[in-house]
Amino acid sequence: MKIQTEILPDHHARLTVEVEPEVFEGYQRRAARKISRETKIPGFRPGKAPFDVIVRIVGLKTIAEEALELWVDDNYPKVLDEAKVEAGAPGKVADIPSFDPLTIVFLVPLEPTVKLGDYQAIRSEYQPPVVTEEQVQEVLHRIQFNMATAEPVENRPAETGDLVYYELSGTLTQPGESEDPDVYPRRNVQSIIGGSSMDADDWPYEGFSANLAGLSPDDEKSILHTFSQEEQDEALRGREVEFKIKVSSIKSLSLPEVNDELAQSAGNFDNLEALLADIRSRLEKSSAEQYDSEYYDGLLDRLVEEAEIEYPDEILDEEIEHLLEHLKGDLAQQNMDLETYLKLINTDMNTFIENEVKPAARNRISRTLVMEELGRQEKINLSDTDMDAVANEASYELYMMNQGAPARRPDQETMQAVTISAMTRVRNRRILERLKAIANNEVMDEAEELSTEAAAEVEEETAPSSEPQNDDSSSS
Amino acid sequence: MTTIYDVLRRPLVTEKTNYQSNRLHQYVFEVAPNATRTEVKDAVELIFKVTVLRVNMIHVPAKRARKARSRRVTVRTPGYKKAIVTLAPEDRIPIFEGVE
Repeated sequence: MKIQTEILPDHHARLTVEVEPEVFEGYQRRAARKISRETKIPGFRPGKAPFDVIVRIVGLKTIAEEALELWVDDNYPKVLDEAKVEAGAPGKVADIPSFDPLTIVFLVPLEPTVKLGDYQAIRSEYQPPVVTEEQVQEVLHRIQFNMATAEPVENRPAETGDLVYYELSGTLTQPGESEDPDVYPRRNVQSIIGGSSMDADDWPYEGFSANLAGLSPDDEKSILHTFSQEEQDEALRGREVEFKIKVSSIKSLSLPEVNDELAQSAGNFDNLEALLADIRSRLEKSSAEQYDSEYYDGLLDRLVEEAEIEYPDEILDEEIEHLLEHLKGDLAQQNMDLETYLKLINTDMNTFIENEVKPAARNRISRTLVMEELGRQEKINLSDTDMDAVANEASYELYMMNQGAPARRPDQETMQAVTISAMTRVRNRRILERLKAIANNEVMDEAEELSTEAAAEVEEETAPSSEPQNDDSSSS
Repeated sequence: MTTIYDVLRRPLVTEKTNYQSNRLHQYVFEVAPNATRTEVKDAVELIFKVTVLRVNMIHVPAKRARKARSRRVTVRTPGYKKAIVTLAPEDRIPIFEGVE
């Protein structure tokens, strides 16, 4: 076997392999036997026809092609080994210049190569956002609104802040042909004049509820409104609609006082302080999560920017396929298929892939590759405790998958898939933590590292459900 | 007009004849129904330039079978006359061995 290796610029390797005639002869005989098993040769039982007879019936070329396939099946790994090429995706036979002696040209997509830039120099301070008193107050205010009691108003017209019940219908003033003028069919609506933090005053258009002020029960009013060009609903853009309002009743809202009592009725808190603490911790958690994801996104983007990443198109195609599959799954949950969705957003398959899917796929690939490489360079391995976390996550996932179904042993394949995905997740988390440590200039020497890791493990054990990103053990 | 070239109809290549020609040096032909051993011997010797030691002949009877799809229709395979020709050890007939 003679192999010529040539690396092409598009991250493929071109291997020209020459096979010894004796070896190929053997494969031809095997191929002939295979063919004789599959085709009916008169006078012979399947698989019993001699080579010469098969040659006479199917021709040498067919046998050679079959033999080629067998040879490739058997020897492709060996070829890669001998050529010292790391394949990143299945290669293919690009050309067969000659059958005698057999010469095959393989086109092998290479394993992606990642050259991380000077990632040690990436600096980005980790500053989780602080929850302000105002945010807490806002949530509190919302709770207050929720608990507000409404009292009927009889002796005065509606004012700002009142809850008004009314009938609303809207028709197009100049409906086009084959258009239903009833864009807003008659229905009962309630809204708070001037809006509230709970319920923004943007339906049917912004500032609509101001029209309700000054009305009394049983009052009727009609309003003309022209929708702007930025209106979400395309059918309404630039159209004039006549709204008819008939007020049925008005109620004034009285907000409950902020005290322990409110806290108790808002959800079993002992006193106001407990409620406030709960609001604060929830806000902290959600904002920290948001900040974390932005923070890591930023870090990864930097990492990707500085890295030199090369991968063959096959990997990109695979990723695109993967993303499309994912999208299809998501759409199927909304009872939609991909074609309908594409029609809905007014594109066709090719432009959609080119403009939407491809950049996303590129982004994902670069990130995964960069992360993998970082993990390799930083020698991030999963510790025993990490493996425990993996086991926990995997079994939890299996449990979630099986919910509702009768308990049964999951098959090997699912087990494996779940375990691997859990492992990747935990590993990625470790890698991100390391990245964060680097960005905050907190990389320590090994002994120290071990001790903090042990600390982290203890922490994790006490609170297994908390997100590891949230524990700040690595910054200690 | 029949000539000696009309005696041999076709060589028979099957698993069995393959065995016979490889191991026993016997070559099998379908021959004209009225051919005799001597005619077959002369024909083979003339056409393939070989020495024939012995000729065995047999009538392969016609067979009928029912069609696989519509079982009412019977199909008939015609009968024929078969000659098994044994050659001298040094001779061979190339048309039985692969493409020539």
